Amino acid sequence: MTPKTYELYFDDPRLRMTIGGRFLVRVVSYVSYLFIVAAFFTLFFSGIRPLQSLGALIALFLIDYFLHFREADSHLTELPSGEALVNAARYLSPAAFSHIEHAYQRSSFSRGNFFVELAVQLLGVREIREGINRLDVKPTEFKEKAEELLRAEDNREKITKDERRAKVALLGTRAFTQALRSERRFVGISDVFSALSLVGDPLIDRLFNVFAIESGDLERALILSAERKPFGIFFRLPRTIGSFIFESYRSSRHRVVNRAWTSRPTPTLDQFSTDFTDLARRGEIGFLIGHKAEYERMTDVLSRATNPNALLVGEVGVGKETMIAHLALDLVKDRVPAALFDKRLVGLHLGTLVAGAPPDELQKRLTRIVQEISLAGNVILYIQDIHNLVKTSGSAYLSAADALMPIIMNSAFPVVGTTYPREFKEFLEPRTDVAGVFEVLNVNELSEGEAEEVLAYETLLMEKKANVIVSFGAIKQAVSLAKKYFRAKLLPSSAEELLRDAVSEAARRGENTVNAESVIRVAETKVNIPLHTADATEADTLLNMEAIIHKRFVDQDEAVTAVSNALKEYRSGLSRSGGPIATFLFVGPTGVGKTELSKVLAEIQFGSEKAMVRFDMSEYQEKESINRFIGSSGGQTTGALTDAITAHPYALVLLDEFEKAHPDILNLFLQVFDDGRLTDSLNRTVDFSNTIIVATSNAHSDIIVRAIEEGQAIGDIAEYLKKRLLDVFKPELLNRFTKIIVFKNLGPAELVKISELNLRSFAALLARKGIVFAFEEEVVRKIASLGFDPVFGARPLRRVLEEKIRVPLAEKILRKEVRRGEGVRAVLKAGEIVLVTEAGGV
Amino acid sequence: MNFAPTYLLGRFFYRIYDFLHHWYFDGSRAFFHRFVAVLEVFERIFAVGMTARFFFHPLYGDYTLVGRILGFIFRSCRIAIGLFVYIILLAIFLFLYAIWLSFPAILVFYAVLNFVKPSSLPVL
Repeated sequence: MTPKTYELYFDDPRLRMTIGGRFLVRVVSYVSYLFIVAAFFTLFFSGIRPLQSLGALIALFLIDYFLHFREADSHLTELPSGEALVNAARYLSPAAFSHIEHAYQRSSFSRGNFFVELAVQLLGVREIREGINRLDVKPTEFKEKAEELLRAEDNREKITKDERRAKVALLGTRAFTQALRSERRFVGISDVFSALSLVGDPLIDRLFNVFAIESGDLERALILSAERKPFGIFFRLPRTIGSFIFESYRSSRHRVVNRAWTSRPTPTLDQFSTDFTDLARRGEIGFLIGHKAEYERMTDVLSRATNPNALLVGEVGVGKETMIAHLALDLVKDRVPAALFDKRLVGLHLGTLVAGAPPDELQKRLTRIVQEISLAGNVILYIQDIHNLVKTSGSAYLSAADALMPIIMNSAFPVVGTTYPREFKEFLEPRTDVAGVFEVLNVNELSEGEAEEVLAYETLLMEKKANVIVSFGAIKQAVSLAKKYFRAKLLPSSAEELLRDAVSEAARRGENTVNAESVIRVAETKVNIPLHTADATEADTLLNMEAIIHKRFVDQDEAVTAVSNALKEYRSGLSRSGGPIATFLFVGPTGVGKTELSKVLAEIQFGSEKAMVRFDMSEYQEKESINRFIGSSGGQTTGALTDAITAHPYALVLLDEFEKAHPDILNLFLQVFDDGRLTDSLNRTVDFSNTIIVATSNAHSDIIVRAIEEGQAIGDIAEYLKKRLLDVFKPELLNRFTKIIVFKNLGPAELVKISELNLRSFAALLARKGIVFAFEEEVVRKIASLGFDPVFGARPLRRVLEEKIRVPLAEKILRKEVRRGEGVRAVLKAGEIVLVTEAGGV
Repeated sequence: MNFAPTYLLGRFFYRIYDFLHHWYFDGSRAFFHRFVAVLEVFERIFAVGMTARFFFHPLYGDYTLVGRILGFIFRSCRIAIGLFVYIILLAIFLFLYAIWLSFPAILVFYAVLNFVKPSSLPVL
């Protein structure tokens, strides 16, 4: 079929008739069939032979009519080949046309939008209601909203009949394309409903947007209800997703030899292997969605005369084995190239083969297996985790690789192996003899749409097991969240795990349905990211973020406002998509709170200080240090940054002394700041879109120190300082920061506040240990004066607190002068801070 | 066709055409597909085509003289039995197909012939 060459149009004469004409057609059609049925009974039971024959002929006609009652005039499977002018109306099922006609008539009367009228009309169909329900949308709410749109005077249409018919034609052709893509026989009701989202009408788009229904959603949601049908009354659901094969092969007996009677039995191989063709024959494996290109390439490689060896490289759960299983199914179905025809696909169990066997026994086994495969001539050998072959080599005994490799290199039989990217780089790539004989095929992650389709089938099994209903919204959410936050595995495995957890959780709670919210709840507990829409409490926190930060952080209003705004935008869903939540460059002298603000932010928004991923960039000054940062090119070591973000995708990344990093590392951040993505040495993409990146810099501290010594405030030189940053950073890097914030230097008044905050925080710590700590205002001022340094800001404060408060108190605790339940008061006596114990609390 | 009676008349003739199309065109295709499907099932057992292709190959990879002779004998028998079964199948299908094709015509023929000579044919 070549759909691109069709010139589509939509024309049904009934739409050009008057209402009376259409009514007449309906009435006459019904009456005619009643008349024909009556004619059949009259003729067939007349007892007159010639009339009985005619009655039988009419019976054939009626049977044929009722057998094709729900079918369109023409089938999509019989489209003309080559270029053709195709009338989509002829492929429309009678039920679909009936709904279109009804909506057309209603919109003509009421001047309501045809598409919305049709949406309301189609909600009367159970299949559509079920689909809408699966999308976490209540059909009643959907209908109410649609009717509300229809009632609005602004939405009344003043269009001619021709314009209205043009709308029907647009919908009809879109539905035709949709049905063709879904490989249906006719354009059905669900295709018409799906096509509503493709017509580009502002009003219907508004309706779908209200309920966040995207194009293609309904199509996939209907899998859940439509695919259930074949398994409904007469069939049982399969046990695993691999068994979703609708064309099962009757015979399930194991074939000892091939059909051409040229092969031989392989008893030793059978002992240490699984015959995938047997499993496919029993209908247990073979179901495949996606990976079309990789699969075709794999069969091409396996069927060539020289080096028929394929190596599938892909992450865990990406679908390597599913492709192998599908090959087994195609072998059983004879849907393979001639070179693979009548062959068996056998998976060798390396573990069982090698484990526990003394060297000489292993060698014997391998020799026998290789001989059997060579003599049989009909075996495609599948070796899972093929890197294990190389791993065992070099040991004292003859390894499996050493026995198998010469045979594989001789192209004696086709071999397909699977491995993971890291293992491939580490073990296989360095061995040119091994890597050379295999054609490496990278198995890519499924698209989100394909993953949703896989999960729709998987869901049918989960529903049956847990006795819950899973909405399509839950599937969609699981795929979208897994793609974003659960990168340890790829789609669809990652989404499947998440959905499975949500189903288990729902079953545990005794809930009947699993919707998008259920999935979000489970995902949140796993990644500690606020994925739900901000509730009232969180919204309140966000709205008062500045005040909350200032409870623990003094001054630096510009910086506080900037980070607060970034978080407000993020949680309201208005952040720039594609990049991190925000990227800040904090510039300023030491001890002004650059790191402290990051810590406070991590605790308030990201849950704890531990959610801050901190890198001292002075440790990454050498060119080679990039290997430590994002992993070595050979795959031997993984990167500290990429590992940290894979483990904590929702985090604050603090890059201390950013200017000291090697320029190559700084260049990496161009991509991170722009796209929010970084690809590590193993080609894994790490997502930074849920991180705030704070880079701090003391660049040009000489200018700052000089300015401070001259009595200037940092605010006065801020603009000058920003310009001078171009000496240190490339302009393209500076431009990518959301904001460059110059921190002000702190004065004595700020130091007093900071001292008080620190003392309060210390008091809170002691309270948790059962000791009441109190302090006088003079003590705060004393500590502030001792901890102040015009050049080092608040940095000496920590040392002063330690010397004057922490250490003396620690000694008192050790001397048992302060016990649990007692109090300590810090007072100023003769200009010195003294700790006074007060029994029974302060 | 915009005029309802014209449309109805067109649909009347279309229905007759549709019935004939289903009976003769779709029916023939269904017969052919079913025949091919049944052949495929039997081909999995007899593998006539494949056996012919490997006619001179020894049986089960046994390249000795005995293996070659046995291969020749067994393959000959297999092809002969297979062809015999296929011919029987073909005959059954052709017979059923002929009945299918002629059934509507037989009914018309019965009616016409009964009008001409009412007592010459049995009651249906």
